[in-house]
Amino acid sequence: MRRSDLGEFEEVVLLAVAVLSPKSYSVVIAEELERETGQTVSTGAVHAALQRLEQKGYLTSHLGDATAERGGRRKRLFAVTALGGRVLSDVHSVRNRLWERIVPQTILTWS
Amino acid sequence: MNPNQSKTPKPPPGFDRLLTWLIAPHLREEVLGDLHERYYRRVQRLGLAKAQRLYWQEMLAYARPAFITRKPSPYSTPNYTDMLRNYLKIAFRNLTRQKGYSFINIAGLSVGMAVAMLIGLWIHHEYSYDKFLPGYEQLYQVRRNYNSNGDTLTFTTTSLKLADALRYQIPEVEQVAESDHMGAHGLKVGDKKIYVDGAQIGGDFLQMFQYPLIEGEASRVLNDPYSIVLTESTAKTLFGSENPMGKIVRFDNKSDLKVTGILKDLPTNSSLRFNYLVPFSYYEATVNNVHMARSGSFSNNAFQLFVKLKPGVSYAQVADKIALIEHTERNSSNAMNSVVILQPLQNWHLYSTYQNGKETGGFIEYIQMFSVIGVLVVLIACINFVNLTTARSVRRAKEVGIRKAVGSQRQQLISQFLIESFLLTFVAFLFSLLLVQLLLPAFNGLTDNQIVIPYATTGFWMAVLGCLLITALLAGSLPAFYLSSFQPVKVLKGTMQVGKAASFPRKVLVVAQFSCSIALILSAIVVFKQIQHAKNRPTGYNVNRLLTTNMNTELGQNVTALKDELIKTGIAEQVSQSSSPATDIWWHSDLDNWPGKNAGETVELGVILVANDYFKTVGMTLAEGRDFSSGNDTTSVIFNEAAIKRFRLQNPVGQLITWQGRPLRIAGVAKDALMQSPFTKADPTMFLCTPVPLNVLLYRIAPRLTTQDALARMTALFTKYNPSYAYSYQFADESYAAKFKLESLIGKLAGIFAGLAIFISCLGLFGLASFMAERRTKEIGVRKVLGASILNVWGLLSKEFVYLVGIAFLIATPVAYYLLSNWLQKYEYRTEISWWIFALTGLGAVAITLLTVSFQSVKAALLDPVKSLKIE
Repeated sequence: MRRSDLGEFEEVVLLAVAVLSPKSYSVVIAEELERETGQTVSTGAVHAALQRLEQKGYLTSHLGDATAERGGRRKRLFAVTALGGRVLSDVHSVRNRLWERIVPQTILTWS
Repeated sequence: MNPNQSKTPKPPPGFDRLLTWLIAPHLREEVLGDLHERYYRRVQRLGLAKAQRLYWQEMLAYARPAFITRKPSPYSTPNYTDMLRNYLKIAFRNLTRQKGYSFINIAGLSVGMAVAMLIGLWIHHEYSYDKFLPGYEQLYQVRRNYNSNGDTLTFTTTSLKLADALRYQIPEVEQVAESDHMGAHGLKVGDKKIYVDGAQIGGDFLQMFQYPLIEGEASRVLNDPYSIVLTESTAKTLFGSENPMGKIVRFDNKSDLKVTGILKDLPTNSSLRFNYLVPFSYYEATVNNVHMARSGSFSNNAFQLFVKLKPGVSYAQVADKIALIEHTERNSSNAMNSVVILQPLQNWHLYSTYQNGKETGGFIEYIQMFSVIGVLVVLIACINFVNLTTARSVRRAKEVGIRKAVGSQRQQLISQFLIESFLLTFVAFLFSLLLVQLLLPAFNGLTDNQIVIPYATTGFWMAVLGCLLITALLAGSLPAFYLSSFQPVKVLKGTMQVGKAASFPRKVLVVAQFSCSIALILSAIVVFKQIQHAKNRPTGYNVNRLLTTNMNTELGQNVTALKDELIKTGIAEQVSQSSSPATDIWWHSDLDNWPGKNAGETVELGVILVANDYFKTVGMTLAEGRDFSSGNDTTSVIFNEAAIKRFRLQNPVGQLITWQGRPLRIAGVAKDALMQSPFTKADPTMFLCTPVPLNVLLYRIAPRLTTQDALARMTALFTKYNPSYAYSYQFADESYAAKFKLESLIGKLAGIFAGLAIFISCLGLFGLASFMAERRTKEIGVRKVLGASILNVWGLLSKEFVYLVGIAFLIATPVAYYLLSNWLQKYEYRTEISWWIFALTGLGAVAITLLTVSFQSVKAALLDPVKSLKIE
């Protein structure tokens, strides 16, 4: 497992890309994350994470259409690569396995 | 598209620009798009104000390396060191390919830079005077402004009483040192005798003026009245290799002084020059009137004073207090007429002239003048570079076209041409350094300095580097901008008319160049003429073969015998004595009364005490009246014509005047003689007769003897009658010539620099002419085929330059006339700037131009038209 390669923010960004695919780009990802976490997320932070993820090979991108509200500028659309998908499912299964091993009484004491 | 969107204000465009600059090019589009999209979405959802606030936050998030770092370009960026190498290589090839042009450029620039460097070193030397003394900022010499009927005269001599007044009544004054006038005295050790300049000086002097001592302590060496401090070389002359400390020196054959200290030899940039120091207390103890002067009157002005102000005190703070110190001390008329001022040590050397009691200049004016000349000469050399480079631009046009066509930016071309000019300037600098090194001994001989190139100081190299940069930019930037402006399409198609556009500025520059040169030549001629004018001025006495020897007590005792023997043996024609040498007046005083004196009128007049035969010996003639009847004719006085005029005396002979309480009768009127400056009117002077020995012995060598022969025989005679002293003498003609020293130097230097300026200008013309001839080869060929004579072609090519030089002459003449007539105003006795000077300079300039240009134009005219036209 290459856990150290994936930061927490990167992980949610990667997940958001997967969720919003095939129309995922920084603005909608930021808004999605804001909605999910209830915190302000800047496109800058998202964009930086997207760049890192792309460098690591978890994402691929291409330039999409221009819209008027972007001042005629194109957007960069992201898609999860096979490697990215595997990392995501790895992370997912690690978490699942751990969740399953939590003794029910422990969960009870939290709630 | 949402119609509302066009109404919502856009995000501020300034930030877009900022981000465009900040964010890496490959990310710009998406990032700016994101920002704008988000903004509009937020405007719709959250309202304008909140959207704008959040926009700020969004923006700040982009200030991170991930967005700022540029992506490596897929195209290889130019390797700058490689390009630099390429530029240098091209520059070097250009230099070697066109040897003629390179020679002209480098020769002109290096001569120009050498001139500037010499002047720079010289100016630096002149400014360095006395600055080697620690704390020189607090050191001053006391000067006295004397009011004589509305004219303020400034003197360095003051009264001894002033020393104590300054010392005890001005708390801001730290120390005061008294001094005599620093004349020559006889020093003797065993049978070694020397007669050299030294000073009798107050005990604090060496603590104020911290000339480095090799032996002894500054605070103690002058404490004992019977002590003496020698400079290293004086000690060596007197004692050889022995250790002089504690040894005895016989001073003026009067007292034995113990050597208490050894001073390092004074550097050449010291204003004060002395070979030894004797305590002023010795002077006071041994000379009665000096002793009296301490308690006497403020009007006994025969001393010099040096003052050191306390640290942190500026002269301005104490000026008022010091100015009136004499007035408060005593109500004498002399005191009422004089104001005490201080001159800072750092101004001694450069500001020597006073007018109306204020420093007006002096040497500094020449320094300023020569700085201007230095800059002008470099400018002239730079103009050559500009002209030749732009003139040759046809040759470079193709290079520029191709470079641009393959993608050179204009900036790159500019830097290429600038690098070329840097290279050239640097090569020229190396030559100029060599030139300066070779010329310095001659220059030092001329200016009587010991300047060396300060290779070891960083300041020098910084200055050189700065000047190099400026020169290279001056010379290189115009050609760089011009050459890099070519349109590649035009150049490569061959439709560009190079040269036409640049020829007007070139003409302007040639005119500027020649205006400078012509102005310099005019100045050199006028300065030279002024010096000749003053040299040819009748002096009113005869300086030829006239010698002076300073008297001393021993000589005074034997003077009659010596006189007799000098005459009897036929060595001297005449012998006499006076209180100052023929070429100077050492004593100025005031008359108490004369017929027709206005109430309160005072006049400074020179006083010369003379012995019998004075006028005969010096060769002065009397306009009326009679000479002194004998050495004892002490009630008679002889005035010169200037004095008669000054005192407005009608029928002066026989009138009575009063001087220092003594009634004197005017016996005769001497014709004016130039005893002081050859550039001013003769001073009003009064001659008095006295039988007592005087300061100076005057004697004229008999014409049948050669100088050498006479000197040998006189040495023997003087040694016989004055054995304690070394025989010393001054030639009056040499002393007189020394008065022209500064003017002569200025004249010589101005001449040399003007010559160099015209030489550099001609170099440029030569290059331009050869270029013109080359460019018009075909035209000349056609003209010759159609029947033009060699003379026609020569005229065609030379005409233009003569025309330009003519314009330069018209510009230079009024400017030079104005400046020179201003300069001449300084001199009371001055030459006029006559028309022939201008005619001569104009003709000379045209002649030089024709000579320079003719070589090329005749060469072009002689060219075989068959050859020049065959290529077509």
